[in-house]
Amino acid sequence: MSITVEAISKRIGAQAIVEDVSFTAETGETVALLGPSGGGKSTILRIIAGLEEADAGEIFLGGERATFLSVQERRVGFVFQGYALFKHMTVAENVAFGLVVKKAPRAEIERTVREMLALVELPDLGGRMPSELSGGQRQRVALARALAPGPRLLLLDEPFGALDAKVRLSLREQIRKLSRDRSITVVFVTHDQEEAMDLADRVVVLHRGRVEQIGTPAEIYDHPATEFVAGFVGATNVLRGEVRGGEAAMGSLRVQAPPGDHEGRAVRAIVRPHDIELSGRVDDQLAGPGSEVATGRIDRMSRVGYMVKIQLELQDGQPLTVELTKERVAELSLCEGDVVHVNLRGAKIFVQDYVI
Amino acid sequence: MRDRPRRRRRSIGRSLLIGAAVIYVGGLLLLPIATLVGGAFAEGIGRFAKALVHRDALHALWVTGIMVVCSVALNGALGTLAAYVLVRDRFPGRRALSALVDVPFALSPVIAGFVLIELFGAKGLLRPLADALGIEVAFALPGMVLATTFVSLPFVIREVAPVLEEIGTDQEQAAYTLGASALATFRRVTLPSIRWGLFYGVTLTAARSIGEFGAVLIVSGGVAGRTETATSYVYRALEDRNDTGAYGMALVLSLASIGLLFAMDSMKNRRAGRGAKASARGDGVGSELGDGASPRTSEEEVVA
Repeated sequence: MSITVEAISKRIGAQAIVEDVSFTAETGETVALLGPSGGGKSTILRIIAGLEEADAGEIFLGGERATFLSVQERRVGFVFQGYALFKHMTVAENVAFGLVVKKAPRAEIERTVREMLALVELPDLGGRMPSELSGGQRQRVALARALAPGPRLLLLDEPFGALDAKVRLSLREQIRKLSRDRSITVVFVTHDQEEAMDLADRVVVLHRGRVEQIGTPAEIYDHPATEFVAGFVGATNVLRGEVRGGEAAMGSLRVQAPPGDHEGRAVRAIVRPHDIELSGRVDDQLAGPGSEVATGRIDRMSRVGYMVKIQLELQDGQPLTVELTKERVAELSLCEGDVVHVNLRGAKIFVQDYVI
Repeated sequence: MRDRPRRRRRSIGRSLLIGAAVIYVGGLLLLPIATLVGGAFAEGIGRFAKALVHRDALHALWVTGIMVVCSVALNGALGTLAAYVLVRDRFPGRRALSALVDVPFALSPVIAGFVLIELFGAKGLLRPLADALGIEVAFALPGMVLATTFVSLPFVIREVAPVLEEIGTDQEQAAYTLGASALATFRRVTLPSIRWGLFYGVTLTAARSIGEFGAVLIVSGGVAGRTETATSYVYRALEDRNDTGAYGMALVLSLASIGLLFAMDSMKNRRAGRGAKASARGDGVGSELGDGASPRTSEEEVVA
């Protein structure tokens, strides 16, 4: 079932929580609402489910206007952030709930519960109480409960928030499988960009209640539309500088400036740590503040898995984080305290709106 | 070995504390009850039984029974509703209403009875309403039920509201998304979650209703065989120098109230014993994390 969110806005008091947000999710698609905490993501999800009402805008589910339908009528599966399992019911009773309230035949309920518990790989825990389960198990029960009535649409609010890394990965895999095998449309809220990139077909980046960018994970990463997106998605460096002679100059580092006449205006460059090349050590005298050659001093190096994270200080004092493979570091025989040449392979330049 | 003397000294301090607690509770609570038992059987078990099966005594017990049933039913239903509204809804005057709930605790029951008589008496403000409905309120059962309900009103609300607060709205919202109507959600999700709070509230309401005297006496006038409750019966029996009757009835009432409290206490223990399963109330969360284990350890230390 497709979802269309059309220009929804919501305020609480004087504060705008959601402002003019529109996006669509096609049938079978997985869409992530990504953004920092307090960005209005959960509110949007709750508005789609009908748990909250928007002040303006429309919601369409499967092409039909659902703006004024009650929660019950929308028939969406919703997994809450804190799982919200019924504490006084067993796992099986939790999963059966949606079928019991619609008075499904007993045999059908039993079959569905068995099927759902098998689906989330908890076939033997039907008799347990929620308090006897681990966090990951509770999350899976919440998922089974939401899926039992057979919704065509699954909404997940920070589904992996409180779980450890391993459990997250296996749950992600389960959700991926679900949306593929049952062509369920999934919309999930997360503040974890890695999670959004990994699981979603498309990502809606939200900031202060507004849409910053909508696109595939690759588009969002490679072509961030705004400075916020560039800074939020992926590890980044932010360098300050200005436009000089058609080039963005950050200290001695230079990159092609964006088209248009921005001469003299301040710019911010967003640089990915792996888009920086270091080469050859330099003697100290070459690296003075007035030098035209871009250099930096290595403050600290730390090994993170296969990569080495290098903290540099550029001539003009700006810090820069670089990631190189361990082979490359060995090849250059870099040590802390060395001064090295710095080259930007790529950078996203944002000309500032105001003139300094 | 080294810390043994210190530990022994501590246990002497403990013993003193325990002794003080026993004397305090025993002196103030057990002594009167023992006196009641003694007084009731002072003239033999036969006289005791005879005093209790007296027509007026039986009728008084019957009237008290009606009071208990009505106040439990009214406060159970309306108290749960009031707690639900006070916790879940935001409306002007909510805080004031919440504070008002405790008025029956603060106000003397005698005043409550007096006000009811004023309202429903000959020139009372609500007299036309009672007349229109064709019911006699003052000096009759309806007034007495009102008085009893009034004095026991806070218990259910005060027990249920914190539980509602604690469980939050997540489970209710989850039920809505699964297609449950508001009524089905209340019956299948909210009510089971608050059942212990409601049970404690109802138990306290019943105990309070059994013991109510002032408000009911004023509203009823205490006419023997008609509007006399068990407590008013004790009062009249004392005036009439019918000591066995007074003692007997007092003993029955005390046993009923204390029995209720013990029942509630044992329910609480049974729930605590089930540990993690009991999570409907706030303490369920704590016991899940093994809170219960630490006091037990220190107890063993003291014993050793």
